[in-house]
Amino acid sequence: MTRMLWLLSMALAAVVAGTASAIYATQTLRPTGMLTIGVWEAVRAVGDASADPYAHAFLASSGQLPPGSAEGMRFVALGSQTNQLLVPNCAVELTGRVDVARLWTLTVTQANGAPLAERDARQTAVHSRDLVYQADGSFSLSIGPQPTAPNALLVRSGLPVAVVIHVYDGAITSLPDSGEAALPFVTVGTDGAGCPA
Amino acid sequence: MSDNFLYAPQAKQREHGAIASAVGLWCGLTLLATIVVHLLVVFALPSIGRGVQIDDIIPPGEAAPRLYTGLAGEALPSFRYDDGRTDSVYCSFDLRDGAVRVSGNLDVPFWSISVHTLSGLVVGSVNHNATSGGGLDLLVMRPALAVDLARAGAQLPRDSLVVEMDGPLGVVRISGLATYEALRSRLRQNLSQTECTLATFTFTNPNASDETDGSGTGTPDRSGPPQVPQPLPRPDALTPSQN
Repeated sequence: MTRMLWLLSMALAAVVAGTASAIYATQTLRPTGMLTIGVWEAVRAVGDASADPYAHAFLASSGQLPPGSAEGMRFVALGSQTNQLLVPNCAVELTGRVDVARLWTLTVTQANGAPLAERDARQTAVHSRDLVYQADGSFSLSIGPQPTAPNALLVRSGLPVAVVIHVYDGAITSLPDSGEAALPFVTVGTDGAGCPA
Repeated sequence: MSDNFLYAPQAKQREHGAIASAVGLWCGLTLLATIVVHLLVVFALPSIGRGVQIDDIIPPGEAAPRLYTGLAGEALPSFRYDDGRTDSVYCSFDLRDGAVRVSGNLDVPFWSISVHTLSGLVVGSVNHNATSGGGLDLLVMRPALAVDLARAGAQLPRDSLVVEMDGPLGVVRISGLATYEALRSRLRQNLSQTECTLATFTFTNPNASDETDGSGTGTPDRSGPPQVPQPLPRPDALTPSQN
């Protein structure tokens, strides 16, 4: 009886700890092969056949269909430069340039990647040729209920969102890990209820 | 009395030692079992936790290949972090039925096509630079079939791109960039004209198969046309009348 309890407790602990650690590793930890530029993360070498088992599991459980290498790369930002959540009602602003590609798009989604509801936003995506640029090639774009920059996506939501930049350029996949490429800075305003002071 | 007095600490020590070794054994075995369970779950997640949306693409019993266009009220899957300025149609396939051919003439500024397993892994991808004039002709097949076709001297469609894939089930995503929102409906119409069918092959030299018959036995087969695996109905795809 004692031996049975001993075995049962061992099996139970192993199942609980093994499952919990596997789910934590695949859902919370970032898989190897991620490319990080500032607050932007891209799933480089995660979606292809060379992906490690953890990346494979991360991908399978995340509901993504990552772009292939011939399709470019997808950068996702979930927070600002100062680690604040991107809440549109607090006026999210992107400034800078996307110098890793000439053709790119910018999309606002829910934080988990699902599309925004139509009642929250009339337009959720812009194309690199839709924007107004400054003389030095940089741009600024606001995401919020009121336009605060020359370019704006009018989104009304008190919940955090994700900003996704898709770059359509085959050469992007050869970028090194170091931050040689530039992507826009992301800031969050402080005015409004529930916004960071 | 004196014996007991001398014996008691040793007995206690032995008892403590036995408990410590039992606990150590329990911890060690539990750690090993935890590692095994952890690896099992990690390797099983792509199968048991495959993207819910991908499950929607190929409902159980659905005939493949099939093109999902989102037209006429048809539900179209939406994947996480998808580009809001592109439009996509999806071709689901089952390579147990044979090779799949995706073809069309994409008249859009930027298009791309990617082949994915059901768990989302990218098997292959091409973009508009891969072909001239927007013509698209893609074949997806299992490596064994590709070898058999090569041995049998099959004539592949001219300028076709071939993607080899081990697993039987998957999905092809055909995407186009909507440079202007006003063009989105036209883009979808254009993408929806893509064809997603089982591939057929012609053999110009039937006697070219002088190595094997594809069964791996190495037996020369010169008596007839090359034996290339042909599409067979799967047991789960049979209708009641066929049963």
